[in-house]
Amino acid sequence: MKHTKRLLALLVAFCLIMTSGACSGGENSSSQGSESSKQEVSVSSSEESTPASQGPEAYSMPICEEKISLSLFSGLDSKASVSIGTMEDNYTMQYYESISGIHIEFFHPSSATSIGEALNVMISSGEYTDMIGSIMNASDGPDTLIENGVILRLNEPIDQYGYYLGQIFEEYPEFYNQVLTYEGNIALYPTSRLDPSTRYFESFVIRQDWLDQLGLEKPTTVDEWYTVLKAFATQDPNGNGQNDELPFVGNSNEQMGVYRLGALFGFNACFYKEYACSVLDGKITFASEAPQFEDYITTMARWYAEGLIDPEYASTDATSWQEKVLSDLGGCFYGKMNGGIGTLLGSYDYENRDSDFNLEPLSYAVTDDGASYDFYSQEIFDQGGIAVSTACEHIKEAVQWLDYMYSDEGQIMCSFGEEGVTFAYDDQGVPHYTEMITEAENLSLVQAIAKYTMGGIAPRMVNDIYYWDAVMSYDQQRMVYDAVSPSSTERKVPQSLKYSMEDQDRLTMLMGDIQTYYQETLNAFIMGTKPISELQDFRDTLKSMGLEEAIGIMQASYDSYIANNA
Amino acid sequence: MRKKNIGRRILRDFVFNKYNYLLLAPALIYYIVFHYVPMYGAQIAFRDYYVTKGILGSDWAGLKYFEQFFTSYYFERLITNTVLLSGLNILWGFPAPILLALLLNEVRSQLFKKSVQTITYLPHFISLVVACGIIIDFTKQNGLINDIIAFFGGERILFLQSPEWFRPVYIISGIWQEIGWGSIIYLSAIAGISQELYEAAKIDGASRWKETLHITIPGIMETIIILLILRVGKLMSLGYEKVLLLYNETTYKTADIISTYVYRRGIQNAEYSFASAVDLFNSVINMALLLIVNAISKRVQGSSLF
Amino acid sequence: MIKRTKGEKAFNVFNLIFLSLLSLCALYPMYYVLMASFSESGKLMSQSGLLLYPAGFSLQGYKVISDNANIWTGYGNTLFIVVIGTLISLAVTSMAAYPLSRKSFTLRNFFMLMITFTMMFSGGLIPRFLVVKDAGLYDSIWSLILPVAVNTTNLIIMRTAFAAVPDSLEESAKIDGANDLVTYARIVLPLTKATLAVLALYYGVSYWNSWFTASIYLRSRDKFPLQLILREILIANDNVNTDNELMAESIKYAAIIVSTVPILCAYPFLQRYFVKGVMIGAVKG
Repeated sequence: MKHTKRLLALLVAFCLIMTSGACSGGENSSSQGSESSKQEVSVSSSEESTPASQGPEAYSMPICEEKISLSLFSGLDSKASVSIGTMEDNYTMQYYESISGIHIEFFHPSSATSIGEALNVMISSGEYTDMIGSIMNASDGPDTLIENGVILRLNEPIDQYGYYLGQIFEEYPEFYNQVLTYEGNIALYPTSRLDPSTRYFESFVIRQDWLDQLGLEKPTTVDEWYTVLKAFATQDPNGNGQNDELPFVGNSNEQMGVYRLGALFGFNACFYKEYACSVLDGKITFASEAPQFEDYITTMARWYAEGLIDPEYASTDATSWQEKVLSDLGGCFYGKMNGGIGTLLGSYDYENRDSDFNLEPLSYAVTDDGASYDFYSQEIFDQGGIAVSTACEHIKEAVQWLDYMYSDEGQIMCSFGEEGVTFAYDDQGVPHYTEMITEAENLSLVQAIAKYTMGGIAPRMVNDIYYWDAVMSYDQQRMVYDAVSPSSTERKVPQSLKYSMEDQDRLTMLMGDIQTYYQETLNAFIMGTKPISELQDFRDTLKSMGLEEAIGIMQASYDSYIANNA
Repeated sequence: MRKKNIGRRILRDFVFNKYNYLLLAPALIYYIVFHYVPMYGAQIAFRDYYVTKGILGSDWAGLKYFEQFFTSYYFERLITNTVLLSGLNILWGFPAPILLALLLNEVRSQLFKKSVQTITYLPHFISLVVACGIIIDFTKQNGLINDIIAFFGGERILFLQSPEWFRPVYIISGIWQEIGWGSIIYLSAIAGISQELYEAAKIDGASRWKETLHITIPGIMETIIILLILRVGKLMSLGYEKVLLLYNETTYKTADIISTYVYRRGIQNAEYSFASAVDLFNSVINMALLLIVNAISKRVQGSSLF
Repeated sequence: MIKRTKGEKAFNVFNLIFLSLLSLCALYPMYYVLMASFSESGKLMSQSGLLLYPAGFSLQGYKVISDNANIWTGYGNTLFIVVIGTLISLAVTSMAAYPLSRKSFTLRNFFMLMITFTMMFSGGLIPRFLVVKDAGLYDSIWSLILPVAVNTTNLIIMRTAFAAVPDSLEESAKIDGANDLVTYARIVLPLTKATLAVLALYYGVSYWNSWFTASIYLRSRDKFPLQLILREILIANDNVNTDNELMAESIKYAAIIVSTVPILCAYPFLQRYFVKGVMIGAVKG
């Protein structure tokens, strides 16, 4: 024990020397970055918003002639843990090792606890792996982690060695801006959703067979929504002779409930998404302050009273929610492309239930101003990625190992593995999995993919569109993109708003009580236990809880975000 | 002078009780290493804790986090809900297993007795998630309980969306799940009562009711009191898991307790310092309650922890 | 036989009915879990109301669990932890409970206070982890036993049982020249078998169910206990948001059956210690 400790201390010291040497060129800007005060940030980051001009040098495989080993902290995906105990046994990882000359020693925390917990424990023990995945789940923000010497600022290493990511950053400047931290650091090799269609995977979903049966079209306005839900409630689409349909079913998970219906009115009422804020006329606006709010709660209260919303929506857990859809009670809900549409279509008991059960995604309703608004799609940077720790001795190799996964070949390699073994191209140049994967014994398709490739699992970098396409079983899932993507995202608060450590702490603290009060009272309005006439009282109470200060913090961050992206 | 005396007394005690110290040593080492050494971690309640800075390296924050908790909009409601839910849970839930043990003690058929014991202890082993899933299933609008109510002509009740029903549902389901498991300790205590006492009572012609009242209950009183003291000493720290699975925004009014509030703020938002400040506050109250109950019981009943 | 009054007879009938009803209520959830574990997921999810027989029939839940590479090593590890852990815990707990129950032990209240204090105040996860690491227990199966070796409530229960042993017995032993070690092992322990049985159950069950410390203190998957592996399977199964995988609802229930049936079997074996009259022989002998 003692022996290893001393060895580790030596290693750390050694690599501190290494890093200070390697980064000497960028040292000035790095210390500037961390010392810069709030006002300077917009200046310094706009300076950096175009990556260095001379660009990193190209490299080719193998990354190093003599084999080296790097350790990586990364969750083991459940699809993989079914068949393998570590990603070191993954076929594509072994293939990547053979071409790059870099062995990855995985450190998989148990998936039974949150990865943040495992990460915090590792950080506090002071013994880091060379590379650290899921770094955004640590309780300390990326700037704090860099400042306190846990992970490296990657701006300079990327300038020097990040040949492919550098190109991607030039191609997608907004991506670069999303990745930069408040202090202008790049804290990690970011995972991304480069193809737009990978940014849409949830929507409202409706029983299309019920619509067909009643001769109705998909609703496109709130009024049409009312007509459809009313018809579901009164015309017995499930044909059992009882008025037992629950036109809109939500569940007690706040992400899936009636809060989402705010989007139909052109604002965001969902607290877990950017604290229930929307951007209205360039201003960050909390749900209760939005002009649409009163219309929303009035309508919801009416729908609830008329039985258009499941009366038990607040106490329905995920299981009973599915039960309601699968037993022909629920007519419409908010769901995920896979977990909602895919799973439910696959689980329905077609044999014993005389039904043409069919689910299709709905577009957001058109509001009074003629546009529809989307608050729930993703950005390119999906807040994940891999950081390089201060314990790493081989920064160049680590960065290039990560970087290669951003090349065209690297992306295909991650999702599909080795050509001729795990996949083959068809005439159109589209990759397809070989029988080694599609016919794998005892494993489902996604499990087999996760055993032999990095398709859909860490440590791959890019959400690959071919992979998405390969694992979708139903056309209805593919329809989600067409249904949702035309809606405008101009009112959506950017996911990657950045805050200083103090601001973030303050915001989190203020929003704590506001969340409880907002959600509790919103439900009371909808269920009619609180009259809408008390709306002003509701707004006043929120103000007394410090809402304005919280919104002020967000507004300041939003303003600098806009300035950077202009 | 006195100090010296105490020192000498301890020394003499050490010699006199050397085997007792020997027996105590492993447990003492355990408590020091695994409980007292890590206890320095409790300071994070007084610091702005950052994982990267470590516990001792984080800046002092004074009473900031305590203040945040005390001035929270929901402070009073949280205290009230916690004390009521926990208190009522003790009031109804604590005697239930004792009652079961006494009833089982009256059963003459060994087979029946053992079967009931074994069966009633089963629900304890069902994970909370599944148990709460069953509770939700039973209490929903078209669930079994509402079907029964409707059968007798009653109105269906949305149990889990009515603040006034939260506590009964919580407490009754708790009894249902823990009554058998909880009775085991009392059954073993009853087994420890000297059989001669019963025989003497029979000779005196005592009825079974009298036997229960004058022999069985006093025989397990010590156990009851000790467990009650421990239970009251945990009044403020009611676990969050079950409440989290059963409550929702519509029942916050009665269901939101300190631990769920801390869960939402401290664990979901990783406000570690805030969470440990609340924990520390709870612990101080719990400790005070424990000392008070212990003192009362010492005076009234003669049994106590220390 | 002893004569019984009418009241007693009525009570007997009431008692039998009441206990039968209670058993029925207690039996249903386990029955439900058993039936659900054999059900087809799709049918199970669209099923509402009482589940009296499996909804469809499928062994998929059990298959998923038994296919897991680590499930059997998990059973082995858990067995080791339960057996060795329970033995260690019982030994340390009962040894400590003895002096704490002696009125002649001057510092017993001080030590009791010191021990009870730890029920209320703790240092939190990270300092505990650092202690475990410094003690060289990180990624060792002993990290699941030693840091939780004594449960304070159990210690207090044991002490209470020891205190109930009549002083006269010990005094006579002392006169016969027995020291505290002998009194503890030969007199007090045999008289508190019922309590020891209860504590064996309490400790055994808590070792059997523990997973959280394992998820933090262990790294190697081949050291994972059963419950940790099952939990990972359950979490994977719950993770419907990311995947197209059809959720096998029955896994949840199969996991409960797999993970509780062995420990449920322990109880009937312990029951025989709860028979009345243990004392008589001792006093007379």
